[in-house]
Amino acid sequence: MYDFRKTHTFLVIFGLILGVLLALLIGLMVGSVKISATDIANRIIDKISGTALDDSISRIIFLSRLPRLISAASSGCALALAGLSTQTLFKNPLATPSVIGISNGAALGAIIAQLVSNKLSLGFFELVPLCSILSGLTTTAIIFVLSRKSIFFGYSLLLAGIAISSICSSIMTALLYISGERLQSIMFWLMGGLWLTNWTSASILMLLAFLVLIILLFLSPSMNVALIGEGPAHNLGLNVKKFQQLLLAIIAITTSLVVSVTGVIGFIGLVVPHLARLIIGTDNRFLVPASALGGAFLLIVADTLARTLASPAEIPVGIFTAIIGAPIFLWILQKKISQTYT
Amino acid sequence: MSLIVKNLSFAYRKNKWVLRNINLVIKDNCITGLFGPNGSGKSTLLRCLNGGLKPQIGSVSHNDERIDALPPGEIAKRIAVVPQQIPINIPFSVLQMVMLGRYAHRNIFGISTTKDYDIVLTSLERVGAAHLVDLPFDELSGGERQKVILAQALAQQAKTLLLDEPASHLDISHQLALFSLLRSLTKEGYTIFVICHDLIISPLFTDLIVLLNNNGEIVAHGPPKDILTSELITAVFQAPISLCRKSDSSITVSIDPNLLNPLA
Repeated sequence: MYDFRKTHTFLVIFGLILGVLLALLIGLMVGSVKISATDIANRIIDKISGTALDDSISRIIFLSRLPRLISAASSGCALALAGLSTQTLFKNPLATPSVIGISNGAALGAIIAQLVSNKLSLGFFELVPLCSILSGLTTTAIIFVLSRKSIFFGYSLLLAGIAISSICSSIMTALLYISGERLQSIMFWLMGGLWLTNWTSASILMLLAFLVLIILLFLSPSMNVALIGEGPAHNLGLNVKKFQQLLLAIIAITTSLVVSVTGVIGFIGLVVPHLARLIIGTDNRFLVPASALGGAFLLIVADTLARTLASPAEIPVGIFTAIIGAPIFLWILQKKISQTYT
Repeated sequence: MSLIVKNLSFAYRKNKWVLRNINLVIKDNCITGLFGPNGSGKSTLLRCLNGGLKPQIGSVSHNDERIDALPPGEIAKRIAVVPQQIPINIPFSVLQMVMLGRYAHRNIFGISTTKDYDIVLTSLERVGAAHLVDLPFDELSGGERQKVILAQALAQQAKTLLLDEPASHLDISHQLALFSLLRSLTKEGYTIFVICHDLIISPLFTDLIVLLNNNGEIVAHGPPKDILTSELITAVFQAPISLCRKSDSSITVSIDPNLLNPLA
């Protein structure tokens, strides 16, 4: 079992698990009402043993903060994994689901639905999320069909995606221009946030993150092989076409679902896989769990800051994913560069 | 008779045939060399042999099963390929790179076993690259990369080995080492099909030679002494070469300087 000799990698993954748990705990504690760790522990024990009190603290924990934290963790995990898959599919470190137009496609559907229905949706099976998922998947299908005939699958898919992405964003800008007094609420949704989450969205996002994580763990050896190019990957036994189609489907479904609940939260899909790669290397069998945990951690922290810093107002969480993520990324990048060249 | 090509024609673009009506039986436990001028379709033929390219006409079969009916994972267990173009910017170590050769044999969790590890190290030792094991692949020289890719193909443990100019980055002593490795592999039951360019060293190690011309047709197929004749080589390569065969089967090549054309 030579893979298990990599103690460094396992320490990093173990550390990330601890980090996620700690972030969850702090996320439960802070907010407009401060709750102590012992209170949280007691309520959770009561809940499990079925003797829970239905007081305000219970309600804050179980109806407000917990579903939101679970949504944040699941979205962060799913976004990071979608980013890692996109980078693998295109063998391009800059590729993200938003670069190839899936995020914008999903966001366009949501904006149209918001303008038509004249309300922000809360439930999962309502107009806004459904339109968002449908238009995200439609966008992916268009990009796929446009690039399918080409020999250079990755390259033309990327270019077609960038073109479709700019069409979507032009239409969005036009819609925002004519949206009148609803401009602010739509802009706010676009910048990404988790305040619309409830137990329905939390459970759907959790299921999504779990399924994507399991599927990618099984695909991770194939992801490694795919990195050496289509011809060599075929020689080693990878069904290249099937693998690429499966990965594209995973990226499309994951991104559309997450965007439909949270809006466009940028940066996690780009920076988390890179961070993980800088720390533990390129082996996708370890990158998949590390990115999943890193994405969950980053979005929990960013969302907790977004809802507490200017409380009771909300700051769009996308601002924090970049503000926290980018400096950490630059710091580790600098460290790695100085290690390599000294 | 493991690898058989029947009536194969291949085109990248409609009606621009790169290979025309190729019929070929690659003999087991032999080294077969594929020779031909630049652009004659040697690499294309090699890629058709393991299903990397799908011919428009004709078929390739391995042990009486058509290659295009086999899943890539099954093909990889039977046929390993050492490609000519070795990708650069590969973010793996040499160990990880060779371990990718075990992909077709992976278990459901994709966890490499001690057996995989032993096979990888043995493969690296056989190609004389064991000392590179911990280095990043993208810091290697061209020749070292070629060795590592060969080790990757050996780790695949497929008994048919297709090599596309494996010696192009190797100096003369490493070329000799490579061909003697290929020779010993045939004794272990490997079947080897190798694209070659040089007319001096490789013919000494090949049992059979297949000669492609500029139209992508096989013009000759047989033992080196029948193929490497001044007439045939001059005609196919359009170069003023005369080959002189000595009694000990070595070849001297001489060139008539009066007939040389500078590259147009």
